[in-house]
Amino acid sequence: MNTWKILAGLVLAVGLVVWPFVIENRFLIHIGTMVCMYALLALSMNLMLRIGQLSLAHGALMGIGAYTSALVMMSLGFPFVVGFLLSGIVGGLVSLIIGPILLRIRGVYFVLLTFAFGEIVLLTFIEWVDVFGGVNGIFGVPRAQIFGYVIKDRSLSYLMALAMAAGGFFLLRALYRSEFGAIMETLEDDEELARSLGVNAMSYRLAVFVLSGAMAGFAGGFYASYFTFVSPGEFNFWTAVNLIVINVLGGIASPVGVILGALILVPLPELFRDAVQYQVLFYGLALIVFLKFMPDGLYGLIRKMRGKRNDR
Amino acid sequence: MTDNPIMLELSGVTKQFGGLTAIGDVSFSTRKGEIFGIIGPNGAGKSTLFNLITGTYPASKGDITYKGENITKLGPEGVAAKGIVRTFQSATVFGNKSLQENIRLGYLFGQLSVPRRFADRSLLSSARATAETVTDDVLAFCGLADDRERIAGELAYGVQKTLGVAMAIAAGPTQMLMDEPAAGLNPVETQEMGELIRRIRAERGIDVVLVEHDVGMVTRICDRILVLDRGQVLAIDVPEAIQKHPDVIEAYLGADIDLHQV
Repeated sequence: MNTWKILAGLVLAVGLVVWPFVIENRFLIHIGTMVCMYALLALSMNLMLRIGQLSLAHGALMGIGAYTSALVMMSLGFPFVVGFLLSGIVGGLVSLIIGPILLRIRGVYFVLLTFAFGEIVLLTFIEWVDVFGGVNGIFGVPRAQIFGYVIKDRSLSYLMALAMAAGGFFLLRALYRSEFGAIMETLEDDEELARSLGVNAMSYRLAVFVLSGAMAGFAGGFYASYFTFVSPGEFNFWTAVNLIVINVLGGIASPVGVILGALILVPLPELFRDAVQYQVLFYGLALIVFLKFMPDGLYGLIRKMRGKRNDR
Repeated sequence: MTDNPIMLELSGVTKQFGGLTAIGDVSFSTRKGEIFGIIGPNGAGKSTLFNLITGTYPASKGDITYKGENITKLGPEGVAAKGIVRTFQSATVFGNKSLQENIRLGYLFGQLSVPRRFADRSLLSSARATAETVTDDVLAFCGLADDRERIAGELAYGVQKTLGVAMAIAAGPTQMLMDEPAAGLNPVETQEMGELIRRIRAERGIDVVLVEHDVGMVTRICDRILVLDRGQVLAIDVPEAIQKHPDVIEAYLGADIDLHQV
């Protein structure tokens, strides 16, 4: 049984790496890349949902990463590796600064505050034209470049996104299975009990927020070099809403569910271009249906059908 | 016991909510090896006083020290990190986890409470290694071993309350603060809880301060009792003296309670 599992995992891993070189369909490879990028973002949102603090700032945090990377490369002349690393670091740093203020607030007020923070960031991108290029954003962001090799090829971009998503996936899985994960689990419902036993809840919340912000920042850094432009419109609160929908549909309880959600939801608007105007309607309906009838998401449903419970 | 060192000490502790003084100028100290009870009629401010000691509310005035160290502004986790662990009035456990996992987490959280210590890998691995032993020990001590695999949220209320105490023991405190340990328990369970508290002091060397509504239990197990009335200390004395104290009888008669019947 275990050997089969390992074998299946290997086949899956090889398949995920090799398929773009076999099926040389640019459109499909682009969708694959987007699935991976949004998977990383949705995983970063999953961290927040796990501690019961739904953030609408994640579009802005992604934007901060994207603009950081673009400006570090274009205005300061650093290579891609520096810009990319800084995209995550700055994303985490901004979270570290705003976290102690925002994280004290719970429930709907936290949601509103993160929304307001996101709007402030967007306004800064739009109004500070000299630095951020205003509504038009910044064009001609250099492509990703690793060891002097420019990643122009779409399948290589895909591999980079895949590596990031896989990194995020395994990081979260390890985290959720550790003592840190056990503490995180208590933060949503049992915080008072955990604190009474000596858990410094605030510093754990902050650590989660910083990690989450860094992951969103890295996704932004990737975005900037993949599309070679950044503009404020891409980083509004709808991005955060999409990430929440991915989580709810796939299942919040497991990183596998999050990947599943990204795999299903990200290609939809690309595949049904003509129906994009119904996207928001679809998301709304999906949210209602899932929250009402399948609060554990698709992955929860799959687990239930396989007769397992409550296991990560 | 009067020669034992002072452990918990409150001096001039006051708590105001807006214009209302819930706790006014309360001072007392507990000694090593003591089970110290706090009683009082409804609305006397027992819960507020409890929450001040545990760091849940900040005091408006006054100082709270433990072993001479000021803990007034530490907050719940800071107070716990000093070795003072509380239990809750209602059964408060990690409901979706097994009973033994609850106790294991109680131990680990107590060990890993401070982030600085969490980062210490050697401490983490040694804590993991001893977690099983501590869990087994605490399970046996509290008489919970038979139910160890069961999900905590599905247990009877009395068992959940015992589990709450077990978790606090596992966290490794030197001082335990118990918020109405007998609340919601039937007479048999109350008796057992009283026994457990006495054994916590005798066999674990943990000092206990408890706030309680059940005067019978308090007079049975406590070494000294503080009577709180309208936010102020009415009397502090041994149980026998408290039962005869005219002011105490007066305060309780005002609340329609006969001390000799409860």
